[in-house]
Order: sequence, then structure tokens, then C-alpha cells
Amino acid sequence: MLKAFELIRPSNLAEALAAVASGATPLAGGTDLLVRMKKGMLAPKKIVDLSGLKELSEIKEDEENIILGSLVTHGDVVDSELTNNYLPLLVQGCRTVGSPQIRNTGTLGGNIVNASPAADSVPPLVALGAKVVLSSVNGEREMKLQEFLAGPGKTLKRPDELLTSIVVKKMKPEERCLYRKLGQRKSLAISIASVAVKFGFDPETKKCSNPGVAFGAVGPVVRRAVELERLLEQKKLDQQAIKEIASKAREFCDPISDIRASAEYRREMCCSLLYEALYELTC
Amino acid sequence: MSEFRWVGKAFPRIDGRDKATGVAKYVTDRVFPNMLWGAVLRSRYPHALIKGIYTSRAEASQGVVAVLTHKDVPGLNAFGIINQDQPVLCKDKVRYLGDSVALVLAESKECAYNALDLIEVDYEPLPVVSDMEDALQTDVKVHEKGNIIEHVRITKGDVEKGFREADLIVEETYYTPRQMHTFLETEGGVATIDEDGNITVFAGSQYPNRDIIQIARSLNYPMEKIRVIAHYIGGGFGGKDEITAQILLALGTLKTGRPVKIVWNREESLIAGQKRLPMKITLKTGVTKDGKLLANKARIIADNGPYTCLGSAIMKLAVEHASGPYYVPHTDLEGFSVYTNNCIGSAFRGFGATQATFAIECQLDLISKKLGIDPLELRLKNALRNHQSANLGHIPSPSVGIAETLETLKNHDLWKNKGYYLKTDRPYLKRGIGLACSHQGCGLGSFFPDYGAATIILLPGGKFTLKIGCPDIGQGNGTAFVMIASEVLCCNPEDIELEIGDTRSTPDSGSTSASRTTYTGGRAIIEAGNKMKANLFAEASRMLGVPPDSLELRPHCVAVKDSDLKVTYAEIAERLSKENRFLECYSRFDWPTADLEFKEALGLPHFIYSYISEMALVEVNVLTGEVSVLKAVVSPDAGRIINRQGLEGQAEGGTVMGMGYALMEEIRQVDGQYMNKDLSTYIIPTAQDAPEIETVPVEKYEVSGPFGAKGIGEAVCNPITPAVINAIKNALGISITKIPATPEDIYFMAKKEFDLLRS
Repeated sequence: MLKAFELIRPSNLAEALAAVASGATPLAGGTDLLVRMKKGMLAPKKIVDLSGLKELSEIKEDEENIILGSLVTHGDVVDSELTNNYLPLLVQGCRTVGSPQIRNTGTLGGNIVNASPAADSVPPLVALGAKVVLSSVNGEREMKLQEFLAGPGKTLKRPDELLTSIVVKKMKPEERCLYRKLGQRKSLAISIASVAVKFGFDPETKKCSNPGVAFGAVGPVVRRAVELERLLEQKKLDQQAIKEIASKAREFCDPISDIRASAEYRREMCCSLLYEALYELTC
Repeated sequence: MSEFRWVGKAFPRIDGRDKATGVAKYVTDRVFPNMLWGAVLRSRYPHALIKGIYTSRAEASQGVVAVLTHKDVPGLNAFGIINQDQPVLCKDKVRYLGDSVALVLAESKECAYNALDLIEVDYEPLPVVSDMEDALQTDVKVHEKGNIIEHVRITKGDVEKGFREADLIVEETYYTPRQMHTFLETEGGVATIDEDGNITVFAGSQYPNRDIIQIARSLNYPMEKIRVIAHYIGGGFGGKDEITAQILLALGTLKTGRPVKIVWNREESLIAGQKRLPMKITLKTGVTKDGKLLANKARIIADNGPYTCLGSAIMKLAVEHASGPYYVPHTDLEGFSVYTNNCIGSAFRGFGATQATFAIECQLDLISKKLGIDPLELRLKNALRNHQSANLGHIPSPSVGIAETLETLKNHDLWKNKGYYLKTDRPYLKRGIGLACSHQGCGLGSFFPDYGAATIILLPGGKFTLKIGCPDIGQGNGTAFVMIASEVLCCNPEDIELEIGDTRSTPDSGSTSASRTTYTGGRAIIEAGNKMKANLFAEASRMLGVPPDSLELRPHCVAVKDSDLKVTYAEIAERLSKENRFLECYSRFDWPTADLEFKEALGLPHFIYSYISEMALVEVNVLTGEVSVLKAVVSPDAGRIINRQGLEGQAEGGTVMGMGYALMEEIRQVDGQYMNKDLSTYIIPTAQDAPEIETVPVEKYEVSGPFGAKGIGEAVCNPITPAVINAIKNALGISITKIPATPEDIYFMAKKEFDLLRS
């Protein structure tokens, strides 16, 4: 049951940052925060409701990047022309989040700051090399999403900061991508393991370029599998090669056992999901 | 053209619009002025002695009106349909984590739940009985009389002779999980008391008339001053057959004089609510080399949890159904239901037949594989026929449609063109087709009085009121009742006002359970309707001056045969009113019973069964072990169909529920503790997981049924589980004897065969 709290409803970002600086807990979609509060795991005294901040709810582009406001919902990402044209990998990830209701409520910023290793928007963003923008009353800073994620439930966000936007390089039209999620069922599922893969591919030579690979739910944080990316670039991606590369995936994860799956199964799933993704993208 | 106006047609549910738009108020939605909230303190240990309960801090807490304990229970501090072994509020011992220790009544939900933490209970923890086999051996007793609730053994023929004559004997042990009903509306309700001490309980209940007996016994209160209303209810599936919150609701309002509301939250529902009880089933089956079943020996243990509820009856139904809907000359069927400190096992759609079906249908696939006989032909060869003796040696009512349901599957495109459906375009996807049969005893079985009753009243304007006790818990029996009444009374369903599930205003029509409701209620309605018809004929005869036997019913009127001369129901009602009379017809219907009764296994056997066959097409990803059920074809024999749409709804819902049982649903317990406590870890199928489901019914006329109908609400849940498992085995060539078969289980079992990454 919810405990009583003070609710601040800022009318602009500056007011929101001031509230955060005064110790208020930010509320975006509430799909994680409210659940924890109802379960009694969290009892913030002050909450700042960001939902009215239009400036954080937009998807914009510049020459090179797509800039997503932190209040953009998973549903917005799935529906937006910009993300469908330039970030299809992220669209695939967001499409697997929860249910339609959760996708229409939960935000990209919330999914990142919540720092669950199983967050479905995060492996695509990490594979795409996304950056996050953090704002506070003292100014703004930017860092790579991969560095921002510090552990399960932990980020480098200071208590006085808000994650305000996510900046992602546009994918090239010829790049191929796949987000493959394994859950306990086909929707409304928390990932047991997942993989985001993207690369440019020449079907003639079977060579790939500019690869990005990141696994979800198989380690304390989502990280790019740089060694696998290197192998992908080096090899001609025929059947034998994708089996070999996929088999190595188990070395790049550090999973735990929980109610959903054993660590050993998760480890094997890194290989399986990567193999399936490579098969689908190259065969 | 059909001989019926309504029966057999697809008719939309009478409560569909109100439920879809939220106009319908479930019992737990009800709010009364000055209402208190109740919250239940659950046990801290799965098994412990209570040394003291201290409530003063909680009583002093803000908003708290009363904290009730065992001392406040005026009558018998125990309830239970079969054995009264479950305390209303625990006194000196707790036996599972869901046990009720105290009831807080407070001005708000917040105040009530906050006060729970302030109640101090001294416990002395006891060793926990968590394994059903251990329960048979251990010195630790959940109840003083020991851990065996009931043991039955029923034999037919000479099973050892059967094994001697068999060419093949197959022995295997099967394990089934603890499944949750996961109804939309959790357990709970609201109770009120008036100045004269009349208590009304609005509760999620499958048998309000029986609740009154249990409430009165525990409150030491006159039954006639208790009323239970069970309408609308957001799902039951068996989980609201035994008492849940009813006694505490009545106790709360009695003690405070104020309305009291209790609604279990989802976690409470998971921990304290009744579940499908896990079973371990060992089968030894003998068969000739051409596939004729000769002998079947079963040993079944059921983990009943800490209290009997309906568990021992469920174990007996597992025994009754352990050889499937087949003719087996020699059987030896044994069952134990045992107490443990796990979650309570009680009624769940299928009531033991579900567990038994999983075991015997996997067993038949094993036989089919070993003998190299087509699994459908093997079943067809052994399918029970009319006038043959069933599992327990009795002759069921001659509406045995199992062979016809199998023929239906045999003629379906999915079976005939298997090769086409089994193809995939990915090396890591493997498809399989599996099938299974099942049957389900309808009604309460031998020995127990099993009856239905209905009242029909002619209203001014020519409409009718139909009153019947057994609640509509969401499965649509209310709609079937209205269709049946409309058929008998030759009117439109809109002209029938249904009153249902209220002990004050509706006649006791038995429980909504045991695939009995449409059959029992339907027969009572037909009998009452025929009485009404005779009365209408008598009135019309008088009004028209013609003999009654020259009359017939036409829509909304009584007419002279081969003539335009008629009198409408409205005119008859008006005439009666002027004469200071009215028409009310009541009728009771008693079930027919089998030609056999077992004194040592009361309730067995059943006389009427529904039959069903189902097949499933699955696709397994051998890289991950994920299973997609792509298509299910279900052929139910429910006798004559009353509502085609209702039948399809049941078949589809049952299929998805049984599929969840096969693949994902399980409350996992270790030492009486719960490993999963909410709906993010207790996984049920979503719409995305549901296959395309096709229902192709067989209508085997049941001569005693309403228009020839039998019950079907449970059987629809049974065959899909082994059908899916058999399909996975067919796809991968592996053996599965334990459900749920999760992706992880399947992956590791399949890995030896299909290690794509190492091949």
C-alpha cells in the first residue's frame, strides 16, 4: 500500500531540477517506482512528477543523431517514424517491453535509470553506442550509456541529476539488426536473456562492418561484447563461422540463478540467441 | 431446420455487456456506508506452535476498531466441507504460511494492514513436512491423527492376470505441479448486519447455501438469519468452492455491527488460497502387442497441504480417471491424500481427472512408441464404448462419445496432412503433433445427494422470472439457464429475468462445480417450465373455452393447434391478476446414479461423463527450448450443446489454462516457503501465447440431460496438457514425465539430440 508523500508538479525543467536538488524522487512512467512503493520497498517523502514536461517527451533528429527525451515512452519509440527509419533495433527492443499498457506508460529514461540488467531498451541502446545526457541545477554532462550503468539498480547519476535525453547515432539504411529476447512467455515477460545485434553486411562477401553486440539479463550490467564484435568483423560469416562465434558468447557473460532461470541456462542462451540472431541476419 | 428456437445456437452472454463495460459489480466491488476493512494476519512459519497472541498494540493503533482472534469465534473454530480441520482463526498451531491467526477490523484498508505488523505472536517452530512421500513416513504430524487424510484402493478383474497375459508392460512415474486458478477477482467480499441481527454476506462463492451451514456452525448463529449472495463473481474454477473469507466476513460484521469488507490481495490469494494439488502418479500398464490394453495399476499420492478442503475427493477422482476413457479389463487403482505444510490443495477445474489424464495419456504415447502403433489408432482401439464397464467396473450412462471425438480428430486436416504442418523453414525449429483423450465425471458421484431446483414465475406483461441457486461464476451457466427457459416457454431470452446465487430469493440448486451446473439447473428449469406450461394451458383452456390438449405454445402465447385462436402470456397474466392469483412453479431434479457404490470410497463412481479429445501442433526452438503452441483442435462431447458460443468459450479457455499447466504454471515451494509469490513470477499464458483453437463438437445425446446435454466446464481443461507434452515429445524424441516443462527443462533434455552449435 502507498504511504503518504509530498507531490511536486513542476511546470518546466528548471523547476524539476530544483525539486530533484532538494531531494525529491523523480517519477516518470511509474511502472517501477509505484510498484516498489506499493510493495513497501521504497517510501520517498517527496516525489517530483515529471509527466508534464513536454520538453522531455520529444523525439528529434540532427544530421547524425536521434535525440530521445527521457520521458519518451516505449510506445512512442515503437510508433515514431524517426526511430523506425533510423533506430529499428531500438524499436524491436521497445516492442518487447511488458504489455501495451506498460509500453504506453513506461519511459525510456525510467528503463535506463532503473538499471535492471533485464531492461529491454538497454541492450539495443548499448549496442548502438548511445549516450545519455544528465542535467542538474549546476549544468549538463554527457556520457556513454555503457559507462553510466554501474550495476544492478545502480548508475552514475548523482542524486541531484535528472537523465534528460538519450543521444543515438542514426543507423545506416544498409545495416541489419535483431533484438532477440527470451522470456517465460511471449509477452508481459521479464527477459531471461536477450541479445541485440547490428552490423552492416555484404551478402556477396559475407563480411560484416561496424558491428554492435550487447546481451541483456546475463550480467550485472549490459555491456558491449567487444571481443565478439571483433570476431564478427574478422570472419567471413558462413554457417561454420557463426556457430564458432556464437559458441564463444558464453565467455562474455556473468549470469545469476533466480526464479526465472539458472545461471547455466542463461550462459547457454547467450550462445543460442546470438546464433539465432546471426543466422537470421546472414542466412 | 433445427427443432429448437434457442438450444444449440450461438447466443451472446446475458451478462457480457455489463461485464465488458464495468456496469456489473463484483462482490468485492461493493461498498457500504460506514464500512470497515478487514485484514488477516497470516502465519510467519509453515509449521509452528502458537505460544501466545498479543493484540493490544494493534488494537491501540490508529483507525483500528477490533482485533479478533480464536477467542472471538463463538461456535466451532473449524470448517471444511469434508473434514472440519481448518481453523477459522488459529489457536495453538499453524500449519502453513497462509493460516489465519488474527483479523484486524479498521476504518480503512491502510489502517487495517498497518496494524498487522503490531500484532505479536509467539511461535515455536516445528519441523516442516514438505514432501508428499515423506508425509507418509515421517513422525512429524501435521494433524494429531497423522498425515494420511484418506487412502483408497479399488480393483477390477485381476490385474496380475492382465500383466501375465500382456506382451508389453510399461511403468512410469509422472509429476504434476501446484496450479493457481488466477481468477480476475481474488477471494473476498462484504458482509453487513441489520438491527434484527440478520447477516448478509456478499462473497465469491460456488455454493452459497453450503456456506450458510459453515458460517452458522462457526458463529453459533441461526442459519435463517444468514444470507449469502454470490453475484457477480470474477471467476471460480473450483477455488471458491470451499470457504475462503466468508466466515471471517460474517464474524467481523457480527462483532462490530458494521459492514465489513475483506479482499485478499494477489499475494494473499497465492499464499493462502486453495490450489490444484500436486500429484505423483505411478502407472504400470500391460498391453497386447496389437495394442489392446489389458491391465492398469496406479499408485497416486496427492499433496493436500495442511487441510482437507475437497482434496481427498480430488484424489478419488484421480483414481477413478486413472485408466482414461478406455476399456481396461483389469485395474488396481490406489490413492493417498496426505497432509503437508505446503499450500492448501483443493478443487480446480478437472478435480483430479486433470492430473490422471496427464499420466495415462503420456503412458499411452509411450506404449504407442514402443509398439509402433499410431497414437490415434491405439486410443481408438481401446476407446470405451456404450455398455462396456468403465475404470471402476461400473457401466456409465450410454452417451459415451470418446470414439466419435477421436474420429473427429482423425478426419481433421491437421491429422490427415501432418506432413505439411510439421515442416519448418529453420534448422532450429522442430514441430510436433500430439493428442490426448480425457473424460470427466459429471456431478457429485454416488452416495452424495445431488439435486437441482428452479422456480419460474409469470410476471405481469407476460415475462417470467427464473430463480435458481447455483451461481454463475463466470462460465456462462446463467446464459444457458435463460436459453433453456426460453426454449421451454417459447419466448425470447430477453423475456426471462434471471435471479441467481442468492440464498434468500433463489432455491438451493447445489453447487456450481463438478461439471454439474448446466445439466442439473437445466433439468430443474425444464421440469419447472413444463409445470408452467401445463398451468398456462389450463388458464388458456379456460379463457378460450377449448380443451387443454388442443393447445400448443407459440412465441409468447398459447394457441389452438391449426388455428389463429390464441391468448398471449400477457393476457393470461392480466386475467390472473384480476382474479387475485399468480403462477409460480417450482421443481426439483435429482441426479441418476451409477449401478455401483463404494462404501470405502464415497462419491465414486460417476454415472455420466463428458468425453473429449484434443490435438496440438507445437513448434519447439531447440536453441532455447521455447515452445509455441501453434494450433489446437478440440473435440468435446458435451451431449447436446445448449449454447454453441458458450461451449467454444469453455473449450478455448480450458485449452489455454491446460496449456499453461503443461508449460509454465507452478507455485514452487521449498520447506513450506513460496519461491514465487506474485504474478511477475507465477506465469500464466497471455493472449500472445494462445494458439489458434478450433472446436469441433460431438453431440452424443444424454437421455437424462436437458435437451440431451452433459457438463463440459472441466473436461476442456484436461487433454490439452498431455497433448502439448506429447507433441513436444513427437517433435524432439525426448521423454517428459514432469510438468510444467519449461524452456530450460526442454532445452537441456533436447541438447543431446540437437546441439546445433556443436554439430
